Amino acid sequence: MLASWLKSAALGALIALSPLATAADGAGVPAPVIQKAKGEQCVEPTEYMRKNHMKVLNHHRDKTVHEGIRTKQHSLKNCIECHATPNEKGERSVLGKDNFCQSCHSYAAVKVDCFQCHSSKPAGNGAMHPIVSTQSGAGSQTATSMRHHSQGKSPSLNTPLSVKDITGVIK
Amino acid sequence: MNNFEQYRRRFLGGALATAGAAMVPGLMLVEMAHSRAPEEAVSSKNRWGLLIDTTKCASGCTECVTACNTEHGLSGKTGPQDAQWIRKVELTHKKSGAQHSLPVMCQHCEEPPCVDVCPTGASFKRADGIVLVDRHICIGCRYCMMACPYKARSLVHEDLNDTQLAHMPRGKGCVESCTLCVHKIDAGENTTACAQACPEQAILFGDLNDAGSEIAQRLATYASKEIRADLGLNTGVRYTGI
Repeated sequence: MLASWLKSAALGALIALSPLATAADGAGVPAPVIQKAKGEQCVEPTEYMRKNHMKVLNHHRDKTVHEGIRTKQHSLKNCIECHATPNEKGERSVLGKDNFCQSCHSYAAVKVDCFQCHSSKPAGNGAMHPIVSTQSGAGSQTATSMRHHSQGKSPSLNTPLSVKDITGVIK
Repeated sequence: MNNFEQYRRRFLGGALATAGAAMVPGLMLVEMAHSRAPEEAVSSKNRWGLLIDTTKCASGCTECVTACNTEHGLSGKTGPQDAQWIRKVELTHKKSGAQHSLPVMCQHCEEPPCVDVCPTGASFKRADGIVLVDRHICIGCRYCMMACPYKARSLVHEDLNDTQLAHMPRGKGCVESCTLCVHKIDAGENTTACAQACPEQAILFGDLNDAGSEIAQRLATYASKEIRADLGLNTGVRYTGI
């Protein structure tokens, strides 16, 4: 009686421990490392992006190449801007064993060909690029006001406009 | 100051403030007319082009070529298998011996032969007249290179090993050529690297469709030529002085 109880208990323990044992052996593919990106929130909900990022990127690439629409929200450049992290060489990149794109794509065994042509590194050091705004058109507003500012004709509603400010602008 | 004077001053001040408030949106409108919003598609309202004054272009000067190479991450090598987007061509008139030097790049034809022959639709003309290669579709067959009368296109023969610039994707097995600095145009900069770099300002970039632009006015005033005008391609790049 006791022996049979012991036998079934041992068997139960073995069954309960077996998945743990397999994982500890390292026989399975290591889970992808998902590194923290810049900012609080991706341009779309994370669950949506995990399934559909390739559709979003393909759609945007055609818009960009053929129609010249270079909004930041769904651009590959913008993905890289936020998701690049230091690789083995210390450069910020989305490629590298534990870096954003490659880590997941190796796990899923899906070849990623974007980077045969596209740079996997962000432009510059990334310090000049603000976190993505989800409001479309917000970027253009900033650019316009920055351009005005740089040309020294930043319109301010607080100070009255003089004739000099508007000479040559309105014809 | 009497009451009337005070009233007059208040009235004038108010009128000026109203005028100021009315002018601010006006200022924005003028600005917007020149640069496209990022979410707006390109249209045939514009036709971008270059006017190259060969009388100013110095023989042996390659500033435009170097600037183009730097801007787009090209190696700068000039071997038969290296990508060259601008070539400096030296011309000598057979009888008079007159010499001209001129940069030749993709001429951004209105009727581009490269687009006609492309079997996949990778070679295309954008609505604003810029002839481009969609590298996502290009299979590297090089028909367009053979069709181009200007030798403007190159095939990338070797792996670039992630040395590409972020704004200019390039890759092995794809054909490429001058993009008229499309990334600058889309960013509203409205210039090209070659035009900016030319020490003699021999290269003028502009909108051929905008009658008020400097390029359109110069084309309307001075005689200019297309290279191989006999082909009837209506190129976007024009030359004066040849």
